[in-house]
Amino acid sequence: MNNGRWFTASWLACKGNNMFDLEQAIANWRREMLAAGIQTPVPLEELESHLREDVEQHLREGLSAQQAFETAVGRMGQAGSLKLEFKKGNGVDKARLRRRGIFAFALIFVFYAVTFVCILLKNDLTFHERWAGFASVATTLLSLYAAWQILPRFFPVITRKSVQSVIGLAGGISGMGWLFVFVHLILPRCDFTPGQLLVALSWALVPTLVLPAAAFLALDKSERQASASTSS
Amino acid sequence: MYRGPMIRKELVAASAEPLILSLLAKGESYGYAIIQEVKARSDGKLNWTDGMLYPVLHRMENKGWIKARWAESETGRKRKYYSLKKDGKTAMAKHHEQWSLVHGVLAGLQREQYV
Repeated sequence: MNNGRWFTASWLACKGNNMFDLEQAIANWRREMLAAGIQTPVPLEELESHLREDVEQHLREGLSAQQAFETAVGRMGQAGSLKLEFKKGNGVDKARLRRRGIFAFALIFVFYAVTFVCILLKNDLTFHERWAGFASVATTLLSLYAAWQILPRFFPVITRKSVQSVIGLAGGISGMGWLFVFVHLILPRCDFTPGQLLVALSWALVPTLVLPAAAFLALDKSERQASASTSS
Repeated sequence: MYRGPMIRKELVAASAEPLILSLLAKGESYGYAIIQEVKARSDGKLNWTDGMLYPVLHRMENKGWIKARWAESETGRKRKYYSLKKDGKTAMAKHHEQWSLVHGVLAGLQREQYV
């Protein structure tokens, strides 16, 4: 990545004074970094940009090209140590995962709300059935809003991964478990008209959707607070 | 000229995130400039190994505290510029709170020694 015009000019000027080939030295340094496992393009390009900037600075201070390069490489650190440091931060891209999780939940709820409202409008329901159905959709969305805005205020900061996993699983299993109980144990015992069945199903979906989302939101907030307070 | 002892590496490591966040709160910057500014402000006593800055920056980016963009410098070189995000401001406030607390305790203890 030789995109520094000044650097190239300086190197050419230095080249006449000694036979040290800076570009070759930087290419060798790149190979060493790659061999140590420093990823390309982003970290290595960024490190090389820094290295070239530092070499430029040392050249301005009057060092020879070789001295400037060796000083800059020395300041940069060993490839193995750098790789280890990068590895610490590359485990999970938490911010990206979080954005994806929130986006996925938002999609599910928008799909749910639109679909259910359409079903309630298109089907032949009584006035009360239709409004009971709308009320279930509104309850789901309001519960989610409450889970997002209010629950995290009272939810403790949990740092233990095992406890986080248990809470996440409990949210998912309780939501799905309730739906299972409703479909297999409650519904067969009830004699609903199609309209009543639709309304009952819409209310049954409230905890199924809200419980996993509430667990996710509470854990997300907890994780972010823990991350902010124990960052160093 | 005597410039006092260098800062211990554990303290250098612990102070990296709050320092980077505070520098980025002043405006967008890139790795080399961040290192130079920390060096200048500490009179050369906070001596980071240059390469170690980038894993920290990447970690902070992954946490959603800062964001990055590649742009061309005035010399034509590509640089990766970092800037603070909302979560970064929150993290910075928490860091300041914690460091102020530690500083307050230390200063208080030091004052008591001279009473």
